[in-house]
Amino acid sequence: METQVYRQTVTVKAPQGLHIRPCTMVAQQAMKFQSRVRLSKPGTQADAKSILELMTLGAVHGTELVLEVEGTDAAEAVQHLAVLFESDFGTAPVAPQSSPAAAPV
Amino acid sequence: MKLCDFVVADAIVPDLQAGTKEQAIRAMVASLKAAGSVKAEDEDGIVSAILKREELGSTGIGNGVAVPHTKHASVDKLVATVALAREGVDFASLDGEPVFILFLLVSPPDRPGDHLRGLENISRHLRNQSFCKFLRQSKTKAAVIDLLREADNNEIP
Repeated sequence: METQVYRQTVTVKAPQGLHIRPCTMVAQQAMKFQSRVRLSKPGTQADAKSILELMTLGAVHGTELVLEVEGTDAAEAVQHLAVLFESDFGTAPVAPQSSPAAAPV
Repeated sequence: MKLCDFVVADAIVPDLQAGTKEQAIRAMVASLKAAGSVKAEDEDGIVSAILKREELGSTGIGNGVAVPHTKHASVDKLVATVALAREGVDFASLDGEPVFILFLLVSPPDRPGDHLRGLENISRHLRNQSFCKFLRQSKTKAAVIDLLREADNNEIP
């Protein structure tokens, strides 16, 4: 299967920022996929499968992060993770097609 | 924000004796109380709040590290302590491994930013394998504090 790379910007909606619980949810989701998943902001990059690394982002409410996924299941992974951010980690409803579908880069 | 700004030196537990998650949390909060960083009358409330938070999902974040925490009105600024468990404590961590390094944080309810900055700071150092190794080798409060200070000054390779 062909390796694909997807990149999409996601926003931290949680009022308390990307604290441990959302970091754990992101890592748990990311670990379901074979693809390499990274989240970054200027100056800091984190392996999204590591809670510890996600915590180093110190992403407060409103922070825009670049989600980059590379691998054979990247399309599915990027969609799952984007929905997780869009739904504020399962606390907010997600309108259908509210986030533009990511295209491979 | 530096580690030494919020880790209470007197409350460090260099040889934590705890068979369970609850015993570990109780011992660390007791140490913060003994150091005068939380009020005696709030001790049980803080322990309960931290245990309740653990029910939502373990703060055992992998790599042998746990970061139990809560917000509580007992403090007006972020306070934390470090404990080292030689034998490891079962924390129901995501990776299933016992924890050897524990950072326990209590932050004021109205300052979520401080909590996040504390976590960012702790995690930045914990991702450094040398820091974790040296921390686990530290046997006294003074050795832990020296190491935290070195980490604050970016002196750890």
